[in-house]
Amino acid sequence: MLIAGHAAIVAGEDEATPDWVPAGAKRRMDPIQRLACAVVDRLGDRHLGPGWRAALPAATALISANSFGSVETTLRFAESVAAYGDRGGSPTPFTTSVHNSAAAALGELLNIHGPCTTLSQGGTGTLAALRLADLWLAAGRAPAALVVVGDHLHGWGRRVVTNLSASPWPVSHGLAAMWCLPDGSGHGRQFRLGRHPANRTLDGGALEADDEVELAHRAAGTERQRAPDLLGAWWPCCLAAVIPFSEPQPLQLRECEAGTVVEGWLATG
Amino acid sequence: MPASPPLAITGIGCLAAPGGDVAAIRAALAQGGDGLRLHPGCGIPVAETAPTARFTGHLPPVPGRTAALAVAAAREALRDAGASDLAEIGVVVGTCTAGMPESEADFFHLGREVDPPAYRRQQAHRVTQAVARITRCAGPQSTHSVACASAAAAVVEAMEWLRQGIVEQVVVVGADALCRVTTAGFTSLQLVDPQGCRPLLAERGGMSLGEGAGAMVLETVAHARRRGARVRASLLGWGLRADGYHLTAPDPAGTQLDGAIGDALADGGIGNGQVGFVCAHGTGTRDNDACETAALSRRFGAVPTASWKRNFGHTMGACALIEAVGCVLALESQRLWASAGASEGTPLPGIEVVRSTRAGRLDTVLSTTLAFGGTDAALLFGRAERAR
Repeated sequence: MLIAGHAAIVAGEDEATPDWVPAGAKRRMDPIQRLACAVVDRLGDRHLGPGWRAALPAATALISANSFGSVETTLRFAESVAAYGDRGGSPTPFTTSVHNSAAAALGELLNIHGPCTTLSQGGTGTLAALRLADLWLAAGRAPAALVVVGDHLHGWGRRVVTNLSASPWPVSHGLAAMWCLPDGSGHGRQFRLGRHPANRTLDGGALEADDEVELAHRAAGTERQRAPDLLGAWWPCCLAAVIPFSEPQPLQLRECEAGTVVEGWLATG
Repeated sequence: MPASPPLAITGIGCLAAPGGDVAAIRAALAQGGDGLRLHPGCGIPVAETAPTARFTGHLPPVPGRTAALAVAAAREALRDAGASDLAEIGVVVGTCTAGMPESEADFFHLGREVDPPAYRRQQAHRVTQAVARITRCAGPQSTHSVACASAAAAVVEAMEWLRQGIVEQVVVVGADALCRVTTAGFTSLQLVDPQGCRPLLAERGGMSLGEGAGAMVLETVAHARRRGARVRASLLGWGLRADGYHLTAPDPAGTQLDGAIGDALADGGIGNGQVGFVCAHGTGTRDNDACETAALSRRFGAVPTASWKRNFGHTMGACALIEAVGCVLALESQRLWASAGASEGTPLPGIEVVRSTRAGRLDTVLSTTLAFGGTDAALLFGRAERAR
């Protein structure tokens, strides 16, 4: 398939929710939903052209991938239960606490009705999401796929993830959006599953020593870059934020967690 | 959309409130067994006033209740399939609550000083890793968390892995454990029926929650033939659509659900008239059952339809695979399993609610699933002969 557009927002950049999100919805949303809308807005403005929202095919596939989901609203709901009992929980944060809340918001606000799912695949989520987009496009199930990958962590969530991950990089957050098309249906970078004899490798880094050894071993003989080194921070699926959209050289992509490796590669545009 | 080749279902595994294996699940379906119980003092506070379908049997010693349920179902399915070449078998899991039972226990005890290891297990893909590690299935992994459609989405990905040559054999699992966040959440939305769910009936007043796991071993027909596997049923088609109507309520007209059903039928090369039985999502909520009835009656007319949510409770992210096991058993035994509790009450019009289990000539069975966040899914199952 072709990656025909890419945009990312990382912590510290403008995360403002776009105007096309109604005020009431904005108020109720989990931060990951708001960030998803913001990064898709950036993708649309940069790559899909004026009036992109109205022009989106209704049959567009929608794939989101995140590791921790709607941390803030889940916590808010649990706190309301702790404070007011099991019959007194606040329903609003409960409704946005599901992992698929970002995809749900995008589907509703962008009037997308194609195949839709949310992956929660930890440190291999970027390539798992691109793999599924590739399969659905190859099967002719959608004319295009909107892939939104990353996590939103701040405050409590970032502290917990820092404690549990033993990350050698500072823990941060970010979300990337990619516009994917079937081969031959536009311009973009070709994405393929599997290995390529490229002399450059970009991977998501690894938190566990065994995974880092595996990534280094597989990248041996190539110029290796790690996404968290480029970003100066780590979060699950941070590879998605730095996928180079415009450079012409083939590039091997790789993610690894708990010994499971997922590989894909980018050809020329 | 051109029809795609059928896939072989060569193994099934299941555990839920009625029991810890497929035999117990089959018996519960045959008897129309009501799996809902009050469980005072079980640690789920709302259970004292609203019945739930809780699994009370033995679980393998796996950290995390959802993971333990998933591993148990996967093991049974792999045993059933006689799977031996484990290194090549992919693992796809659908789960919604994942490690929430453990991490919420910490949270309610410790507040924001939550214990990192427990929180780590909350991540959905830890369930997948547990299944892969313990069953020794070493193929690719994927994890879907799409609320109540999690297992259906997992089946969809597994089907495309097989069709497009990623692997030749997959164990696909749906699992969810009951937890306080789930029960308190649906209580806060006033979606729990204190009398227990009464799906597809006019008197319905909400859902009943449950827990469990379902699993299937899927493989290409060529692979199943090559290893001489017994084919239990075939998997013919899938549909999966964003409803895009509202975060927590389906489109009352069922437009996208109908689209998902149409996609599954086209994928399987099956006409409306060939569907002999529908396993509806049938949660017992006003909105869900009205939406499904609208979509099913418009497309099929008075198609025989059942919901098994009173047998198993609404098992959230697991339900599509627990019900898939029920569909396989229906095709094998040529029986239309009844909706538990449907013999008393007023069936919704437009479809034929199956009120007592009966024999029938089933060629294909459709299963539908709807989810929070607006995801509509349809899976189409066929007799084993289609995949031999």
